[in-house]
Amino acid sequence: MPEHELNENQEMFLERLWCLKEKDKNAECVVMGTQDQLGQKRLLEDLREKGYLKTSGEDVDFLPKGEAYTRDIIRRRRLTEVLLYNILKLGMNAVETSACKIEHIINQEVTDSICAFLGHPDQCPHGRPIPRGNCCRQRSENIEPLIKPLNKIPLGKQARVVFVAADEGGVLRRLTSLGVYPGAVVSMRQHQPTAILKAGETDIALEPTLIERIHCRLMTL
Amino acid sequence: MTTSPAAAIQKSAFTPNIRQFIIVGNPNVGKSVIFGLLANKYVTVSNYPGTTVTVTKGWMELPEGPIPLIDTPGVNNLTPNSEEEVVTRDIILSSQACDKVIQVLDTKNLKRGLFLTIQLSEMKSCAILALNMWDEAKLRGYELNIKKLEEIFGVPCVPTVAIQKKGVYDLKKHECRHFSYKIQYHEAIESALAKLSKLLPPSGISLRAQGLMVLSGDETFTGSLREKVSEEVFRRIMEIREQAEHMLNRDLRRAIDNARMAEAERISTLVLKQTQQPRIRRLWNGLERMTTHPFGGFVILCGILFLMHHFVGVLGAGVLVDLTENRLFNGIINPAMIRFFDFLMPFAHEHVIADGIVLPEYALGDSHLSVFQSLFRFVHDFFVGEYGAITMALTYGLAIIFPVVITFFLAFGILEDLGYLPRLSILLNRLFKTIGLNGKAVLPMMLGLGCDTMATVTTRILDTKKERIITTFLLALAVPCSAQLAVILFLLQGGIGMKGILVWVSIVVMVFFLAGWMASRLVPGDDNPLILEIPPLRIPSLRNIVLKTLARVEWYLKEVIPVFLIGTGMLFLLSELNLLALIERFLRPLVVGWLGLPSQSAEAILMGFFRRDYGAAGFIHMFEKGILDQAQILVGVTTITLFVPCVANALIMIKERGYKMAFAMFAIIMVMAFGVGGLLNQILQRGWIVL
Repeated sequence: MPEHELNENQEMFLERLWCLKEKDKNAECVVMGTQDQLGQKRLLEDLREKGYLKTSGEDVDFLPKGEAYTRDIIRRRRLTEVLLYNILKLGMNAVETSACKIEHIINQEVTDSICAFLGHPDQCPHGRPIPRGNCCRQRSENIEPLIKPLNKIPLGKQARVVFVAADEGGVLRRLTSLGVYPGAVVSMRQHQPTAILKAGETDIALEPTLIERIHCRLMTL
Repeated sequence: MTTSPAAAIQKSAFTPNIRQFIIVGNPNVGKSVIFGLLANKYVTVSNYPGTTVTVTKGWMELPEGPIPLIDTPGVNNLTPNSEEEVVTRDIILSSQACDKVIQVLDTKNLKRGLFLTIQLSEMKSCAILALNMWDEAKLRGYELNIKKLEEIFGVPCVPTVAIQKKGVYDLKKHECRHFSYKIQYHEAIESALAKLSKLLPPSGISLRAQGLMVLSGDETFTGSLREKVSEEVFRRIMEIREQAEHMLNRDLRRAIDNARMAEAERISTLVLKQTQQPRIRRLWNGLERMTTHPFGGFVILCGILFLMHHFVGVLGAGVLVDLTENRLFNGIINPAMIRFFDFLMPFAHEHVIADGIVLPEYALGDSHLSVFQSLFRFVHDFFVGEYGAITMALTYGLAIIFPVVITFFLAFGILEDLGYLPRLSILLNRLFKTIGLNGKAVLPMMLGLGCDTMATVTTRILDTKKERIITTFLLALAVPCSAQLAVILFLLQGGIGMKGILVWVSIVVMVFFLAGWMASRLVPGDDNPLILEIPPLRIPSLRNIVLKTLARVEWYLKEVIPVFLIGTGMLFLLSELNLLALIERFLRPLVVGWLGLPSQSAEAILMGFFRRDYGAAGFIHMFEKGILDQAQILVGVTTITLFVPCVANALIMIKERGYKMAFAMFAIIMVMAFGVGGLLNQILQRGWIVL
C-alpha cells in the first residue's frame, strides 16, 4: 500500500474517527460535529468511495483498508508525541502542534526506528495506546524499557512521570491537582500496607492499582 | 497598582458592608488557623483535609470597621472534582468585583498553591497571597524570592507562620490588588476564548475565566449558564467548545489543567530554590516513617489505643465519672435539690435514704393527696422524681457522659493536630476495601467514636455517593459514640465485667463488617481507589487542641442535654398517665419473648429511641436496682448499641441522604438491632457463652 495516498484533511478525519472509536462513541453525528457539516460530509463521501469507510444508518465504521491505514497514522502520531515529549522534552503544546504535522510526513522505516529507539512504548503521553508495528512483533531481545510503571521503580529513587494510564477523568484530575501529572518528579516512599508517593513536598497515599498505572522514567543523576 | 474601572467604582461607593474577604487555599494549608486569628472567632482547625465541609463566616476588625470574612473548604482545583470544591468555587463565582481574596499557600508545596493562584488570576480577583508554613519550607532548605513572585502576579505576598501567629496580622496591613498576570493557552483554546467572550454574560469574575470553565466542560458551571443565556446563545457557546475540542483533538479539560500545572511548575522553579540540604530530624522522620510501617504502624496504633483506653476509659469513665456522678450529683447536687423541692412543694412523703444519702425514690406518707398536694407532687416529680429533669436527665447527661466526652475529644484533638489520623487510613485501607470503602472513610468513622452526628456531616469528604451511603449507614448502626462508650465503660467498672465487654465488642465489630460487606454488594457503584494527601506529623499546639475540644464539647452538649430533657419529660408524662404500662404490654412479645428481658425494659428501649446511650443508661439504672442479671443487661445494651444513635443523627441522615434512603436505613437498622439482640439472648440462654 503506497504511503500517504490521502491528503491531510482526510487523514485528520480518519484519526478523529479512530479516537472516537477508542472511547466507544460511534454515531455518525459525533464524527461530523455540528460545524462545517458540508465539508465533513464531503470528506466522508470521499473516503467511502475510496473504500476506507462504510456507513450504515447513523454508524460509521472502518473497512479493513481504512483501519490499517488509520492504525499507521495513529501509530506515527503517538510515537512522535512520545519522542518529542519524553526525549526532546518539549512542552505539551509544542508536542501536539508538531506531532500533528509530522505524522503526515514520516514513512514506515522512520516510524519503526523511532519505535525501537523509544523501546517500543505502548502508550502516548496522554495515556492512549500506541498500535503495535512490525518492529514490535519482531523484536527478539528484551530491551529494558525506558518507561516503567511506578511499582517497578525502586523505593526512594526519583522518577519523572511520563503518562498516567487512567480511564476515569476524575482520578486523573485528582492526581493532577495533587501534583502527579506527566512531567512531575515523584518517588515512592513505601508500598505496604498502602503505597505512599512523594510528589514535590506532598505525600500521597495511593491504591496499589493506581501505582501500576503511573508510568515513569527513572531520573539519571 | 492596577486601577480597573471596577476598583474605581468600589472606591467611590465604598461601604464596608458590601466588601468581604474570602479565604481560599489547598486543603490543610492553615486557612482555618488564619481565619481564627483574623476573625477573632475560632472554628475547628485540624491537620487533615475535610474539616471545613461547611463554610464559616466571621468578622475581621479593620480601621474601616468590621468586615465579613469567609473561610472556605480546601480545594485543589477551582474546576471542581468534588463537593467541597463546588462549594468553594460557587462562593468565588458569586463574589462581587469588590470582594477580596486571601489565598493561603503552603510555601514548601508552592506549585500546588500556584495552580490555584493561576485560576484566581484568570478570574481577575483582587487578592493577597499568604505564604504560610514559611518555617517548614525553611527547615527543608527552601528559599523563596517574594519580590519576584509579586512581580509575576502583581499581588502582594506575605510570609506567614500561622500557628505561631507570625505574619498573619501583616495581611491586614497590605492592600489587596488585582492580578496582572495572564497565561497563554494553545491557539485553539485562545481563539475559542476570544469568541466566547462575546457571548458570555458579565458577572463578578472575568469573561476569560468563565470561558475557561465552559471549555473545561464543567457541568456544574454550564448547568447554571444555561439558565442565564438564551437557548440560541447557549447552543453557540457549546458549538465553540466542540469546535475547539475538534481542533485540539483531545480532552479540553485536561489540556487546560495541564497547561496551568506546567505554568505553576515553571513559576515555582523560578521563585523557589532549594538552597540548603533539608535539616534532618532523625527521630521525627523515623517516627513519621514508623507510623505507616506495615508492622510498626500497627504496634504504634496498639500503643495509642492503649493510651486512649487509659485516658478515656480509666481516667474519664472511671475516676472522673466517679467524681461527678457519685460525689457531685448523687452526693451533693441531687440531695440538695430534693430537699429544696421538698421544701418548695410540700406533700407527705419520705425519701429512701441509703448510706446517709437521700435518693429520689420515696414512700407516700398519706395514700390520699389533696388537689394541691397532687400538683406539688407532680412538680416535685418532674424535677427530682424517678424521671426527674435533674435527677435523671441532668445526672445522666452531665455526670456520666460529660467527663468521657471531654476526655475523648481531647485525645481525638491531639491525634488530629498531630496529623496522625490520615496515617490510620494507610493502615486500614485494605480492611476497609472489604466493606466497599477506602482508607479515607477511616476519618469519619473515627470521628463517629466521638459523635455520630458530627461524623455523618463529615461523610461529605468522601468522593462517591456509594461511600457516603455505606459510611452513613455503618455510623448509625455500629459505631458507638463517646456517650455510648461512656455508658459501656461505666458498665465495665461494675456491671458485666471484662468478658461481657469483649462479647459486646466482638458483636459490634462483627455486625460492622458483615453489614458493611453486604452494603458494599447492594449499593450500586464502583469501588473508588484511595487518593489521600498525607500531611506531615506536626507537634500539636495546646491552644488548638483546647479550643477545638471546647468547641466540640459545646456542640455536643447543646445537642445532648435538650434531647435528654425532652426524653425524660416524655417518660415522666407517660408514667404519670400510666401509659408506660400500656407500652410495656405492647412491646412485651418483643422485649420479653424475643430478647428475654423483664417487661419494664420497654422503658429503656423507649429511651433508646431518643438516644441510644440514654437507653443504655436506663438499663444500668435497672441493673443497679437489681431487676436485670448480667446476661440480660448484655442483651439490652447490645440491642440498643445497634439502634440509630439519636434523634439528631436521624435528622442529619434525612438531611444528607434524603427521606427515602434514610427511612430504608432506619428500617434495616431496627431489624438488625432486634435480630442480633434476640440471637444473643438465645446464645446466652443455651449457655454457649457463659459470662
